[in-house]
Amino acid sequence: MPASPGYEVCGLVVLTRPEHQHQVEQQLHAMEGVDIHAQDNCGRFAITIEDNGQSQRMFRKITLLQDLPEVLDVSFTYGHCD
Amino acid sequence: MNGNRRQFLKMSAAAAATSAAGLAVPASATNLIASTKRNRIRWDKAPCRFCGTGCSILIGVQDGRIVATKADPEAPVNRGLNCIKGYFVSKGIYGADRLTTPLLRMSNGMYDKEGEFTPVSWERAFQEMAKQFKKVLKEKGPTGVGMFGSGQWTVWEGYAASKFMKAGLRSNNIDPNARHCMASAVGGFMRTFGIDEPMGCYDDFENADLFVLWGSNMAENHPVLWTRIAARVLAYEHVNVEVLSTYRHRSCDLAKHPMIFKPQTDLAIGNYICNHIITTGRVNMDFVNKHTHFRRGVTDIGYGLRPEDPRQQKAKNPDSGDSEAISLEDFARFVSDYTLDKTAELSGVSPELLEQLAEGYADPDIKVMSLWTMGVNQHTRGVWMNNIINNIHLLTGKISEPGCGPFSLTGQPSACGTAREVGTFSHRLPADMVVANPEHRKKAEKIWKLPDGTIPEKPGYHAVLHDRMLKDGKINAYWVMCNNNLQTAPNLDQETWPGYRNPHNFIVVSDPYPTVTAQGADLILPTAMWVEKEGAYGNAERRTQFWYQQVKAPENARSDLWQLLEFSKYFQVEEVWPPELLAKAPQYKGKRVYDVLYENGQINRFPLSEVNPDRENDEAHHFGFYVQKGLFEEYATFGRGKAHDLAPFEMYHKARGLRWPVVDGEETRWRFNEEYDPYVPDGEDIRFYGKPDGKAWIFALPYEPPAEEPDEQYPMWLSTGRVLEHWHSGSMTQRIPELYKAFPDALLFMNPDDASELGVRRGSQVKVISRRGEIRTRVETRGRNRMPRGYTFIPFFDASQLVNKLILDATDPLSKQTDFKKCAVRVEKV
Repeated sequence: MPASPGYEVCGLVVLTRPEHQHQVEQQLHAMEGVDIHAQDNCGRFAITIEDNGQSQRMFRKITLLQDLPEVLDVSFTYGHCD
Repeated sequence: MNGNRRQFLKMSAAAAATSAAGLAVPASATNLIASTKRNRIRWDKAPCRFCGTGCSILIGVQDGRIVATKADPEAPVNRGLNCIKGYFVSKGIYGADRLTTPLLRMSNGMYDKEGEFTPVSWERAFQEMAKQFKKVLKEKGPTGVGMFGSGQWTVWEGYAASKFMKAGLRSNNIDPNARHCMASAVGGFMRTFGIDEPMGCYDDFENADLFVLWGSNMAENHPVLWTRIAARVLAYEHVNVEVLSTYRHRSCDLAKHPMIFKPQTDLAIGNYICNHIITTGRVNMDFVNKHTHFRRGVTDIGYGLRPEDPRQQKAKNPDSGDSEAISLEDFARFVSDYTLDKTAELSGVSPELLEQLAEGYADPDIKVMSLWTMGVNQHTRGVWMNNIINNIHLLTGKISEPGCGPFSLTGQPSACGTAREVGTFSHRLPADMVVANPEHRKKAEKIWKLPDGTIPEKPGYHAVLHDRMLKDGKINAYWVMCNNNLQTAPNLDQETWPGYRNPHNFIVVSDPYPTVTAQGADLILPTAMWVEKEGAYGNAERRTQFWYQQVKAPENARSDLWQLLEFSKYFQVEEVWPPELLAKAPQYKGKRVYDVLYENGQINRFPLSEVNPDRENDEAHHFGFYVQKGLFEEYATFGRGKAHDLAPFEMYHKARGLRWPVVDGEETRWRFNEEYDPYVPDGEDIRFYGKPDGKAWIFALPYEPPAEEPDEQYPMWLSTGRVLEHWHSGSMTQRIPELYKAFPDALLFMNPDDASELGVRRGSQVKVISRRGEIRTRVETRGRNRMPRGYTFIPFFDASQLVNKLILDATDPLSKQTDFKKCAVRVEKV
């Protein structure tokens, strides 16, 4: 993928334990550019992250997401940069 | 960009994430691919270039460049998910320092080993290379040349390379870097079942009740498969994960009680589990009586070190894989030595946790999947440990059915497809055949239309021996393809580097980037990679996957396939075969090796009209025939009807991969089970048909200590491996800005109390010293890896910190795989 993005968006699946679902939900809501599109009762979230700047910044957000307390797993489903 | 387009892209991302998570898809975000047609992006599938999981990626190409990627929602492996490396995989081909022209070390216009790298044409490069190889062949014969290949070669590249070396140059000195990766798993499967690769598949992830990770950190190294495990564990209360490791890592987060054991004592833990199964009366007697034999393996087999090493000289039965028949009672007596208390003391794992683990295996109502990679394989008793895990599943009959079985994960995208199945090892031929067996050689020679006696009978040098033989001057002309050996081979300073710079040796390195290995070469050949060519990989679950060429390689970079076939044109058969061999096939007189091996009427029988007109295929158009199809179909004749059946070529371009054996168009999910495997005769239920009588072997094998342990001078354990963000030596992932930035430099993970005792803290610079060399690095006491006292870990992706300087070149004596997980070091404050 070439550099110089003007808009970047990626779709991710986030897993946590069901007992930590609410805590993780709050943490996700608190992150800039993150939207939760769906979740279930088993600790699964479908989210997007958007960014207008450099993909480095997008990546920092993803890293931050992986390091959130009680997040067990983060998978990527889609990426696009214009 | 207008708001509508942003909204469209965001909804596309949301749809992909929601669908992959198995949640409801928002109605506003459907029809993704159809909608993106308006963006003029062409989407097509390809397996990921990195690990052995075999995720499928959708690649979006616009104006000849990859502009977007998406996890493939139709792929059964990853079901619309990617890990962070897979997400950025396409950027791996756009590094700023791609090699675009051959570079030869020269002074005054002539080749000079001490000269500077100078751009030359392909013709000049091959002329020099051919001159050097021919000189060595004339002086020393075929054993003086060698090739080090890869589990990242495409299937047809590995096949073409193996044929070139074993039949063209008549040297068995070809080995893949997969030797460092999963040779012990091969040894284990062959010894127990007589046929390689796991009997189960990834469908086990949705059927097992218990997952046991033996020394594997799947959360970082096989993340997408870990996601499948995590999803099952989180969704079902009765499903659990047990993690065995020598330190705490991310995979431990999903386990209720991770088990941290002392290095090498996995052997004892495995034997204790067998003992527990027997003493609690949970042996599946019907299964064991019908489907197994018991054997006692020879012990005290050494450590694969040089013969003059005292540890090697002390061994009573160096390199012996012999065994003798015993009874179940003998086996029970043997494992009775591994009591709970003794095993707990030896391993450092509490008796409660050991018993809980053993109960998981013993309980007939729990379906168990054992998973392992380098912790078990990179082990001086790696084949034994593989055998012991197989033992546990055989004793309980928990094998070859959904949710049950021993499953070795692989580290490279085609370690199975290319290294194992094609047989690019120094002792192997396709479809599990070996060069030492005259019938196997005869079969290969017949398929290859070559005279009897073409393939040498003696196995060639294995990977670690390559380096020793280069140093000793026994190999003088050497071609490294698709791997970074100088950053990864053990004992770099003493055993590997001297061979590469030995003035008598000519070293060729083919690579897309100027790696450490390329810089140690005499000739560098710029290589086209991944979707710059049409390819095929085989993943850990026997799934063969194809892809079309998507983009062109930069300037003069050429694929390994192109390089191999073109180089073979520089040899006349008379220059590489003795007259008596040529006399058996006079029709080959005056021909080039290329004509005999590749334009043999079989490989060149598929015309260009069969190539997909909507895709590039630079190799096919260069050689004038569908070379990939020809190589594949000739290769496939080895396995068809022999339980390694591959489907017709075209099927793979349509499917998201198929798991062999593929019989009558149907893949096989669980081998050896009548219900799923067409090779099991009706009414037999289970048959381990790799063995002549259909019975698998259960081995009595003891705990034996590692080759090197901490002592007063070198008081700490060192292990090396990967991290989530980087793959292997980092030659691709270090060039992807996001991944580089996420984990730029290797760090020494150590216990905070050890750091404090040393007078250092997180971020301090330290020297790590072993008996073989030293490196400088920085200390990490927090984060993903939490080390017990006395244990350290450094990942090996960082070319500026060559961890392989520290590693002992001890190997499993049977599989010849290096133990990268255990050596003794001292850490000093700088």
